[in-house]
Amino acid sequence: MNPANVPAQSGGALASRGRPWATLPGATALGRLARMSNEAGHRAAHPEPVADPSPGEARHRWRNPGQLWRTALATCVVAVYTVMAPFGYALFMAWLMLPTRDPNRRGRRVQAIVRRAFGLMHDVLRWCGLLEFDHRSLRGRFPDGPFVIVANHPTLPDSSALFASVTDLCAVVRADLYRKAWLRPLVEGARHLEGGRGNPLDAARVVEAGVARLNDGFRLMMFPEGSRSPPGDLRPFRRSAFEIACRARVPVVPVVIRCRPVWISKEVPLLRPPAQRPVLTLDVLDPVDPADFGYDSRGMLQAIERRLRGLALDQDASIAPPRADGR
Amino acid sequence: MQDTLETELKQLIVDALMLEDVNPEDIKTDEPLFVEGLGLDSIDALELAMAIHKKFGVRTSADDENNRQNFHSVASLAAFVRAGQAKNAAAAEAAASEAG
Repeated sequence: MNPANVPAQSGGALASRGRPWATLPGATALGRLARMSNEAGHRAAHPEPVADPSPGEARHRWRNPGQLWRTALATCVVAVYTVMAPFGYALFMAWLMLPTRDPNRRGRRVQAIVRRAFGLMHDVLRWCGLLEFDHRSLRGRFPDGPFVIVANHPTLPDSSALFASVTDLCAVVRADLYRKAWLRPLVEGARHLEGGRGNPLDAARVVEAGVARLNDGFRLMMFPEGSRSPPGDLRPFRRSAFEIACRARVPVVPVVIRCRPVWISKEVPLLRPPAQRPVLTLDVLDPVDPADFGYDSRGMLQAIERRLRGLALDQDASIAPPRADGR
Repeated sequence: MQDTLETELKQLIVDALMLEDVNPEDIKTDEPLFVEGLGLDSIDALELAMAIHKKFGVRTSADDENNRQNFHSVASLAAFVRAGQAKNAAAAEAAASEAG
């Protein structure tokens, strides 16, 4: 099944799915904690606007039991990841160092594995009550064929959420990460792109590589702010994503990402989770055709930035449900 | 002569990047072109490099580590263009003497 084509579902269905452990007799302490969390965080399943805590508020809530056990769980998740990840990377590296005649075909296989792994990770995070997100229940649908996703970037897991939700997805990876010896085989093997290195003309390389990926049938994800969004605001958008879409003549799909209360942002670290369970939502807006802007990336940027900014910063914004034709 | 090249570059920036609200005389010679100065972005740099190649015959390599310095301001761009033109002239002279 292609998750990019899974029809949208209501948020209510999301809350009761994917937690078969909770009904098992003799559930573990972790499971009981998860259920306590779910009851305490009932609002998470029925999201209402929740003010993002300031770092000061987060400190005040340190003694809140909900935050304490979430911190313990987050620490466990990080510890498990730290222990297990090297094995996963080693397997990938061994595989990706083998020669291949078709790097795109292997890239799609790598992406499929990564997509399932991120989907599983979000299932575990949801089951633990650490982060409410289900990649099977997106609001809106992605189109068929190549496109460029542009989105705001309020939290780190939003990128893994997109990876879990979209097939054949490439991303632009920060140059310092891309060049790390332990990560490079994986990001290269998955056909990701290396970001700029501070040279004003790096955009030429990024744009060229992005257009090539789209011509090969991949989808491309870019955060035009270039970094995680500041609290309650968005950074100015950069033009590369729109230029790539214009040159490749593929649509841009804007995605509004919300994480309330915010967690793993620049200001709220991983090991300081909020007292309430954070809810991550992705609202997939209608594709925007660059032809409507005469393939002018500047005009396209302005229109999409205005729309995304308005929706992402509006605490009460509601996104229209998907249309009957599934778009 | 120096002023002419810098004025030409200012006009080129406005024309090539289609800056509707900027006049060439508004651009200060030593003002940064990117982000905090004129506010150009990386795609603008790309378009500007192509326009410079077309107008002055000076090619910019995407891998050149001096790009950040060369594209800092109109003054640094003018120095880059002069150096590139001098290099091109020397190469043409060498080719002519070899042929002769």
